Amino acid sequence: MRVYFKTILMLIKMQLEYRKAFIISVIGSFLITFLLTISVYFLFEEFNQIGDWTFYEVAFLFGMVFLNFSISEMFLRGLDHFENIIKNGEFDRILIRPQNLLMQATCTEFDLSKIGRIIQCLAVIVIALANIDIEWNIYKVFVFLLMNFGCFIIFFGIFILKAAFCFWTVDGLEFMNILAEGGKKVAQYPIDIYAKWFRIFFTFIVPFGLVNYYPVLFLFGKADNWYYGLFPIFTILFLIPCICVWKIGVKHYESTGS
Amino acid sequence: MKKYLSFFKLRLNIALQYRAAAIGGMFTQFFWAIMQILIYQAFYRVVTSENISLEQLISYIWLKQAFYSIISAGTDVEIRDMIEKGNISYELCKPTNIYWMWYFKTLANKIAGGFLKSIPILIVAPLLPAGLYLNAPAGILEFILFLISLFLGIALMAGIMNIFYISLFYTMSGKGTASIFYAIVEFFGGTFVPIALMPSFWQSLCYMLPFSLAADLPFRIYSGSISLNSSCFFIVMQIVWLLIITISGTLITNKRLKKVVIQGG
Repeated sequence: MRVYFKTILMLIKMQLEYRKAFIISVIGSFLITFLLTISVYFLFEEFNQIGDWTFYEVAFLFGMVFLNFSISEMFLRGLDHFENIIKNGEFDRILIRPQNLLMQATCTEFDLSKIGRIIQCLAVIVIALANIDIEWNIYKVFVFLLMNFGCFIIFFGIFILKAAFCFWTVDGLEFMNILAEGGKKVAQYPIDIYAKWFRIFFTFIVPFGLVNYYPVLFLFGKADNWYYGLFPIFTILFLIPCICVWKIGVKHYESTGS
Repeated sequence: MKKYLSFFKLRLNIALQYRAAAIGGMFTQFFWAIMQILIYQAFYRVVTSENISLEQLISYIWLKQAFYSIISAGTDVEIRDMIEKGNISYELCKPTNIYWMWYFKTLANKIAGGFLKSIPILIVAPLLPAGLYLNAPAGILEFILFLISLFLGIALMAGIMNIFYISLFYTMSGKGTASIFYAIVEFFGGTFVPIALMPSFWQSLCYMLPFSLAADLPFRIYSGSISLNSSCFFIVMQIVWLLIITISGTLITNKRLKKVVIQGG
């Protein structure tokens, strides 16, 4: 863990060296999420509601999903761009170091510019929560934190899977974006608005439903079942197959590059 | 003209080589389109938009997805690198106009990658079950106007991309500038939310800018959610913008290239 933070710190310093480029990147990442938020607002101006969900409820989900996706992008950039490590043969260097492989792959990159997006998502969440009637208590705060944790875990799993995929091919990675980018977009809306086959896939295979639907029902008082709030814990099960695929991939690895 | 055509051919061949990526991309496209349709179906269940019906919107989504890589703001990493790392010096040695060389490079990249990607959707999407399928064009006249505006839209988008590359001479931050550029083009081009579903003030604002004329207008014409009169008017607007962008683009390039600083060593 100490090694991890030290590497991250170096990467942060590196990015701050190019100040102008860094500021432009922050503005860029801020702008995209900002305009996406406006887009959601536009849709609710036109339609008022989706299913029985209002603007602020969807805005909350949007904020939570984008927040955790941005955090994943910031910390897990190395996994996201893992094909570069494979292509230039740098993974050989990683293999000979006496540290956890996954950890090393993760901290090859750190994208500080996502901070613009993170701040904006936090603002969206705060504004949304301020406009929704919730009877807060300690358990609900805990559920809220657990939802964010679960959401992060899902993206973590997807990023590991995407990286592990690179051991077999560095082409066709766009397919994996269905899970990352697609999951992000799907999870913006509560999954009960989708068709049934779609809902099943995103509850039992990629468990977004466990963080953006059941606990939300409880949090917003749409359902009384208190145990719904604990569902995000089960996202950890999603990590198991992902890490297995990664481990198989490492065994399968043949060096490339020079 | 011959040398520009050979740039075009070379790029086309390179783009066609990545077949695995193309198949992966195909799945992604279908997924995106169906997901968006599911979301809008949920919206339309309660209220219907006055500007565009659900059927028109579904056609719009399919077509936009089919031609997405042609009319979106994906930037050419190669040209970006050239400016950031100094290889621009080789480019400047060539006895061609750099604006037009880049213009045809961009155009070829977009068309080669793009039309290939559009074929699976154009074949499969009309065959899907009710509520999901791509409708036939609203009429023959609409279809002809759609083809004209799509062609102009592609030419326009390549010009917009060129302006972006030139702006890199000023900012020198390819990644950051690209994401700002991407955000603006996609938002005003109707990718985040179709222009027809925006509040009316924003709609009129968007149709004054070139982004929506390139990336939104053709598909609205196809689906018939815009009258023939205004279609013709907006096609004229496309031509006007194409002229404005091309002329200002060449002028700025020539001016800027006189004092270009080569990066790297």
